[in-house]
Amino acid sequence: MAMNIVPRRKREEGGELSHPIDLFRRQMDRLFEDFWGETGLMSRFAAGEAAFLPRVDIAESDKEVVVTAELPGLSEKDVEVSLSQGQLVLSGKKKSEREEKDKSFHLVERSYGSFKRVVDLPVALQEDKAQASFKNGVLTVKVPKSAEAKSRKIQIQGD
Amino acid sequence: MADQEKGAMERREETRPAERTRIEREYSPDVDIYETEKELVLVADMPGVERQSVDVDLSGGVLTVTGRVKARRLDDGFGCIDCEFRPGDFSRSFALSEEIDSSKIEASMSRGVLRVRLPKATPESRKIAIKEG
Repeated sequence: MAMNIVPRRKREEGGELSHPIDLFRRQMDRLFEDFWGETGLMSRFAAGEAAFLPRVDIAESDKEVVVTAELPGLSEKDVEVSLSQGQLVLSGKKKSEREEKDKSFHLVERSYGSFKRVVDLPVALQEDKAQASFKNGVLTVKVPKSAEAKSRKIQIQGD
Repeated sequence: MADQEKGAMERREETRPAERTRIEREYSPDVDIYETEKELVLVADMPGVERQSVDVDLSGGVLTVTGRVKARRLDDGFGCIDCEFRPGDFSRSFALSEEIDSSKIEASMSRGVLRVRLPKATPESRKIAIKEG
């Protein structure tokens, strides 16, 4: 990681429960990493690449969480998907088609470049059972919820 | 920053003079248009659109590209946790200034990207032969 915003306290021996401030620090680090980090918006801006950030939807049912990302023009080979500890990371590169010199552009709206999106999944999941598919420029990742996270109906007893 | 990020990615909804008869949203796809010596090429990002669901139409000098998206997930029982987009159709129209040879328009769809090649009418085909009189 490039930088830490909140100074890291020396961890006491014997392993403690994660302090809320540790959690806060992680979130802040991620936020700044997304902006200032190696593949962050700022470095891509500096490299003269238009910032391509895929749009992402996160939906859930009782049984699973489904993440959908719009990646037009990309194939499964251009994208890397990883999932660990409730964090789904999508990264890859959308190649520019603008090299040819005998073209004159009238309109340029599509964006290119490397991207990385980190998606926090809010429930406990069976991460080893995740499935990903790619179709028509849309990436779909399905992860079943763990038994504890599945919602159960609770019967309310009357008097 | 999250808000800014979302703002940058927000889809533009296409506005039309007439109302739609379908309930789905209609978005304006991101488009590149470039010109070479022989043709005009339009490239449109339409993620989620299948080849069979694309329509390219040229009439009265107006080129319209439309892509229909099947409601692809969010079946019953699904709720949004964080939704930056919702499935919707894509549609956009352009007035063409160049003289286009409409019989030779070609369109292809690959990985959610539509590419329309519009060959320019050759000077020969535009020229009017003058008869001796």
